[in-house]
Amino acid sequence: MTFLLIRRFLVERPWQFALAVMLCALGMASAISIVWLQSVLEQHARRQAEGIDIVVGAKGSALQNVLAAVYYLDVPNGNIPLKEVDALRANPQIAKAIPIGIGDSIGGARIVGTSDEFIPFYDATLASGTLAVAPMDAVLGAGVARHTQLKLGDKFVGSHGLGESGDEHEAFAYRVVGILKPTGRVIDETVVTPLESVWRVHEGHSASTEPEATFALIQAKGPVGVATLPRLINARPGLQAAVPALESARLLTSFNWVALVVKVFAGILVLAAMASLLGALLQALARREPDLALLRAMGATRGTLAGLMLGESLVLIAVAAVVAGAMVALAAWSFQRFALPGIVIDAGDGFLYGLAGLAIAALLAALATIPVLRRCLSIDVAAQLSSR
Amino acid sequence: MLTVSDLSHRYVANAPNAEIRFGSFSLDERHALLLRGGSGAGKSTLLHLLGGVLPIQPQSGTAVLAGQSLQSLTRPERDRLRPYTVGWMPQRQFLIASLTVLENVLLPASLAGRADAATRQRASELLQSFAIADFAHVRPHTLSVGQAARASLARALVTQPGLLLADEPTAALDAGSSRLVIEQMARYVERGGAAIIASHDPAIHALWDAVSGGKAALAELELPR
Repeated sequence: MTFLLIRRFLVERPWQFALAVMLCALGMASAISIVWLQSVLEQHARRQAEGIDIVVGAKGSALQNVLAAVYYLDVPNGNIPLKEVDALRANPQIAKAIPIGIGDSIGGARIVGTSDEFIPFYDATLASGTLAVAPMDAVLGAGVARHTQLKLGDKFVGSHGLGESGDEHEAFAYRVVGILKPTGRVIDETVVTPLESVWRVHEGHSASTEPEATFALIQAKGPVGVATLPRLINARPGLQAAVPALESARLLTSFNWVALVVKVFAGILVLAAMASLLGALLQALARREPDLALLRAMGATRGTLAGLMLGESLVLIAVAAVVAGAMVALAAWSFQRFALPGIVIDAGDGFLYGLAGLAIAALLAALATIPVLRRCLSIDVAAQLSSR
Repeated sequence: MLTVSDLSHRYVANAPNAEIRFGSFSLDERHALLLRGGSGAGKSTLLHLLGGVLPIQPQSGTAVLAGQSLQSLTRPERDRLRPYTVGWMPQRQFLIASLTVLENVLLPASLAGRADAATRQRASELLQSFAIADFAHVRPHTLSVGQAARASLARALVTQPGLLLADEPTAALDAGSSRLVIEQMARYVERGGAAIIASHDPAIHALWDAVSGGKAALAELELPR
């Protein structure tokens, strides 16, 4: 009978039920999405720097070097001689030293001149075509191929700088020889070409007559190397070592207040959802006081009434949780599809965040039900039964 | 069945003027008691005390129902009095709008977890004899006031209680419906039940005598205002 009553009570006013569910679900979904998105972005940032222990660039801002070399989000401080990269390769503490030359872009995607170690370094593999072997051969990351619609054999020219409005190097056309499979890393939004291509396009732009690279991505052989190499590198004229893990942590620390604001906002959304649940339950209780008094007169114990209200609250929160789950999944899909296609969203992580969010919501729902239960248990049965 | 001695009730503690006195009376099987009294005389309050909805306060007299002192019962024990010892027909029809008429009638048995096949059969028979069987599977809003009153009485009787408490059972009913309701109450008393009916309706006694043909006795108790 209790389940029958819960079901009937809930569906007797379907629009009010739907409204309460939607308000609850919106609050929960927004809160879960915000916290999850923050985690996804942090994970994404960490993933881009995976395997890169040190970035070696020209003297200047270490953070700027990391942003430019790892995330392609900033302009480099300058160039470094290629022979310095070769010298680093000879260091026994260094496992890999990959030179990269950047300066141009296509459709906002960086054109990266580099060695043939670059693609395996990001665990990328070809979806079609071949690797770049000759100058002006270009291998497109999966994201670049998707949004530029370039195909194997197509030719294109790069624009100077990172923006889409830079001067075009019209005399130097790249030819697409390969397209990579998606990796979820920055290489998806990169055009990979031999370092010689960058030298050819920028011939005469540099004061130096020696071959240059913009950065070297360093992978140390162990933690001792990560600790000692920066000092060694910084001692060399014109070179600066930046540790992406340290620079990223420093950057994130300076934005701690943003994370706090986001979490407070998420908390407010959850509380708003619970307030709407409490409002819906109190409204339902006020409407049903005569029915509940009648149930008592028919032999229902106070425990039965408590079970009814609690059951109604739990059903409402469960339906809201399913709707919230669907909303979060839709938000994640839209985010990945339209906002940041390169970001890999871990469904398992999302499930855990969702579960944690829903557990908190369920706990708060139970708390929100307490005042309803108190009022429910204090119904004056005699007064209700006698009222005209 | 029921013995009441010097029973009284105070709605406001330590306020002698707020005390309602019910005096002493007893009620046996196959007997009914018609409670008379103006508004505020305490007719509904007496029903609430005897039905276990209100507790009997210390030093407020005694009431013994089916061998149990109501005063000594805890709240859960008083809850368990209903619906198998006491059947209740409230002042308003109070059918639950989201349940069908049959579900409403079965409600006391269902809440006690005893809505078995025999009870369902009895509910169907009650609806049949109360001439509302056609409405068994519809919601109460489709019933007239008289039909709803009959459904409410069927619900009070479905558990075959020893004592029926009916609060203004003919209020707002037309003559035909009043007759049907009183007739069913008289049948219940004839078959061995006991009933206490609180009512303003001056026609009830004559109606009772007419439908029972003297087989079920109806006494009157006038409550002082």
